[in-house]
Amino acid sequence: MSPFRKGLRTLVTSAALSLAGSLAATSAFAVDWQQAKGTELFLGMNKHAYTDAITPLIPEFEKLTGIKVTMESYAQDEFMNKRLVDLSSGAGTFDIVMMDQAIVQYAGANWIEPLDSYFSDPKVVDAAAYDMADFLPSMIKDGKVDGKLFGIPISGEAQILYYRKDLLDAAGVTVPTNMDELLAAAVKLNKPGETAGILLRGQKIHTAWNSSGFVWSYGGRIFDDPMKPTKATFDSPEAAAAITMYAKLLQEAGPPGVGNYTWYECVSDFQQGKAAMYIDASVFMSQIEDPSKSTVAGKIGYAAMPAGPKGAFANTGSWMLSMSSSSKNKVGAALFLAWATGKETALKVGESAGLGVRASVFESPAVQAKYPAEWAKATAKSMQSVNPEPGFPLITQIDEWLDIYGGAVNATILKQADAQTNLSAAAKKMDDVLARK
Amino acid sequence: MGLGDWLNTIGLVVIAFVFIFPILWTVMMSLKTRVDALAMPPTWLFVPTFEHYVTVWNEGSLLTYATNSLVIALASTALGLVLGVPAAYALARMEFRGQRFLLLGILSTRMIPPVAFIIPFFIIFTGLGLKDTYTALVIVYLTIILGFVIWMMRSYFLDIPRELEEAAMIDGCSRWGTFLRIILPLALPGLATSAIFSFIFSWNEFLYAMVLTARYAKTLPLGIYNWVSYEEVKWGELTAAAVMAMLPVVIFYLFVQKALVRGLTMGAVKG
Amino acid sequence: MPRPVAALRQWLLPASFLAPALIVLVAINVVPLFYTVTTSFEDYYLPKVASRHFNGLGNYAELLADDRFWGALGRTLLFVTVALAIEVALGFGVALMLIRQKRLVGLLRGFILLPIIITPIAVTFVWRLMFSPTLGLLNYFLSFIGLGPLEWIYSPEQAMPALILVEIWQHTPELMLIIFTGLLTLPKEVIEAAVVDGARASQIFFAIKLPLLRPILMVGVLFRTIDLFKTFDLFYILTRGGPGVSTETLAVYTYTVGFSFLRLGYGSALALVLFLIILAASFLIVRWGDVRLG
Repeated sequence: MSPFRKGLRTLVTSAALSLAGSLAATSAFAVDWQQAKGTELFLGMNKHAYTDAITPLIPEFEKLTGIKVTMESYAQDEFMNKRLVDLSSGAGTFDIVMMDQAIVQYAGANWIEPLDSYFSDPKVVDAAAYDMADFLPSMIKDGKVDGKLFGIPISGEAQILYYRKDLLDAAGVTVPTNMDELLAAAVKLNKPGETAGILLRGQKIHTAWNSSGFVWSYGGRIFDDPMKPTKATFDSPEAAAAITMYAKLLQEAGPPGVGNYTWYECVSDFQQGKAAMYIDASVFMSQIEDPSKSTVAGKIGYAAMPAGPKGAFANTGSWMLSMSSSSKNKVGAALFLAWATGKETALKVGESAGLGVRASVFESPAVQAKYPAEWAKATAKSMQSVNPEPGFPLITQIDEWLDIYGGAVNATILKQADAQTNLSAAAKKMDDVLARK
Repeated sequence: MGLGDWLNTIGLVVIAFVFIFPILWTVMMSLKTRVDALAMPPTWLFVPTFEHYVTVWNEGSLLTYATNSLVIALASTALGLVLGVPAAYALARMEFRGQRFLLLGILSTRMIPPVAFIIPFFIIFTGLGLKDTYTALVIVYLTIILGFVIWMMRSYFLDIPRELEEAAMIDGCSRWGTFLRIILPLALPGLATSAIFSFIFSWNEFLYAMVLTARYAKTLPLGIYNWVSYEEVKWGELTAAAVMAMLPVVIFYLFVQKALVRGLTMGAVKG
Repeated sequence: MPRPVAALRQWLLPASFLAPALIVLVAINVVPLFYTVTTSFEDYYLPKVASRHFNGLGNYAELLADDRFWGALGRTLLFVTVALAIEVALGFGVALMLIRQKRLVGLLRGFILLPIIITPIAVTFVWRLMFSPTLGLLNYFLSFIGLGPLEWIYSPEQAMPALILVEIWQHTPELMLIIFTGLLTLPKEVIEAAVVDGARASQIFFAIKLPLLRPILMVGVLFRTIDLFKTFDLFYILTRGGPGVSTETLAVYTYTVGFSFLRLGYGSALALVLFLIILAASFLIVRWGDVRLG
């Protein structure tokens, strides 16, 4: 058994144990897939590899159920806006939307539907075939708010280290496994004007997710209570040390202008051979290995997130599917969710796009054969870390957190003040936001 | 031609080049493969490819967005003219109390920043169930177009000699009859110009369309945004969509070039 | 005819022309504006609609104490004045060159004016790529004259100048055109008389042309000022107010508060303040510039 499979096996076993109880009660009635025949569903999707992968499979669902599905996909900024406009107004345009860190806000505002009743209804979901326990625990937890299921994960990602094998070899640098090695390697590989030593997102909102992994790895926490945040703790000395390192990497070995880098600039630069290392979400592999877009395809090595003083806690994240509370076709929507996130469809998506949130997908020989083994190994290893907090804080004011906390990290990168000063000021602001009625 | 004239010509050619360069570059990018598009140093000579146009046409629902844009722009322009032109005539030719106040009030609608309007319109349209409809966008575009048409057309009416309508009224024409039969035909160039500017405004608008549409009423500028994807910006497709959005505007531009200055100042400066 | 009837008729006729437009104007401009005013006195957080309530001047009090608001206000004023000054100066320069030009005037004018009407978001995206420090065209050009590389929109110091650059690219032609039109309409006799009197070119420009141009120029300044305060697309696509808050203007901050933080009440207060600032600026320009409108 490969280490990758072994790791997953452990995960699956523990998940199975914890969920077995809740599933035992369900009996195996046959689901009538045609029960919403003749209805329509409208899906609001973010532009994403998952969207590309599920699109060609939709006709199968239409054939199975007799439901007509229309899908519209939007660029990320626009998507957030459209989703907000539609769901907050109860207009009911979308039946199903892709969901992300905004899940707490949406669930709290009753804009999305709790899904437990549908998934425990034998008329809608065949629990045995669906196998809820197959989801990786680190992924399915993202879909829960106050213990209730509001979103079902479809695509998981974890922070990994991408590196240029050729450049590391030429410079005699070994693959860094901890932060100090990472800094030393980045500085050594940095050739101003040609290749940057390392890429990390620097733009304020975009730094938030990426730098949280650093904070945990240094023993810090973003908030006091991961399940019910009441006070910001991202100004602790541990967190400040982590952000100092995050900023130092970029100040000493990042590309010019990194203070406004989002994933887009990072991926483009890396594709064009402008950097030696890059830490970001695992999903970018398919872009970097695509020879029609990337000049460095085939030269890339993959490793798990380097460790900080307290271990390696890569941040993980998932995209989910949620049902709009204003949907006029909830049964149809539930059938779609059951189909799209079920084992069979998940496997097809995994094979075509390398995305997975179910253990069975990663264990499938077809998936393992198709994608770089090193990448799968690094991703699985990063996903295994049992993080002290969710990938994004469970708060309603998520956008203000992104702005305030991300702004502090960004200001540190830009040397506007040191990490401690920036984070302390930000934590105070964040506390005010949390205290607001 | 003296040396000064030559230098002047060269200077202007350089300036003109600077101003059209970003537009030219957009067109060039739309004809390049992705590797060429991002290559540095840039590739100046390349075999043009039309693949992005094909992709945009086939996959991007471009036709739907273009239709939406067209319907919304035409409807808001038509309504703007129907409502605005008679009002402009009254403000140009009749005397009544509060005229100046009215004119300045109408002008001040131009000063309302769109960010001040999106919140109320967002809430109001939600209440009326009008979000993501053509009606919603036609209404918000009218907030700009109506005032614009009134000021523009008023300036054109002021240009028409009074004697013409006085003669008509002596012949027994009513005020409305005179307006419809005598004045409007004379103001036709003004009508065309106002219509084209209103159309271009609706066609180019981005912020309202982004906030107030989701599925049915998406317009072309949002269709451009569509090509910013999760993992990458699809430059070829994005610029191809951009070029297609620009085309009708450039064609219209050829017609209104002479009246551009008037359009920019709502009729206050005549060309 | 008795007096009241005459008065009514005098009033009725303009009303029949004006009423439809005025009713619509009130419905679509005054009503939303009124709504913004009332919302600005409310605590209205979109995810918690149920707890929406009147909170008096709370939002305005918060605004006065909000550093980010004052920063945004400062940047807005900086953006408007610097861009306007450059646009006027460049506009004059190009207009004077164009007046002098004898051949190809139509063609050159046609090219220079193109940015005014082109779909803004279409080209703004391409500017974003041109600004890339590593893959962008601008740094490539700069390298020929031994400058750079600059970080453009990726640096907190250079981002605002970079945005002003795009803004002046897009809108200098507007002022150029207005000034050009003004120069064309100058009475030739006055200028010829001055030439006969032996005035120097610079004297003619500052003592005669400029004062004669002033009314028309101020109309251009008025409309540019209004639009500069309202500028949004440019910021949204190029920087979103970043890096940090280095390019966050009032329009951008208002949008962020309303549609990212979802605080519609506070957002409405910010929006109204921006509107009042535009009104005040317009009033000052009309007064000071002696603009005769209509």
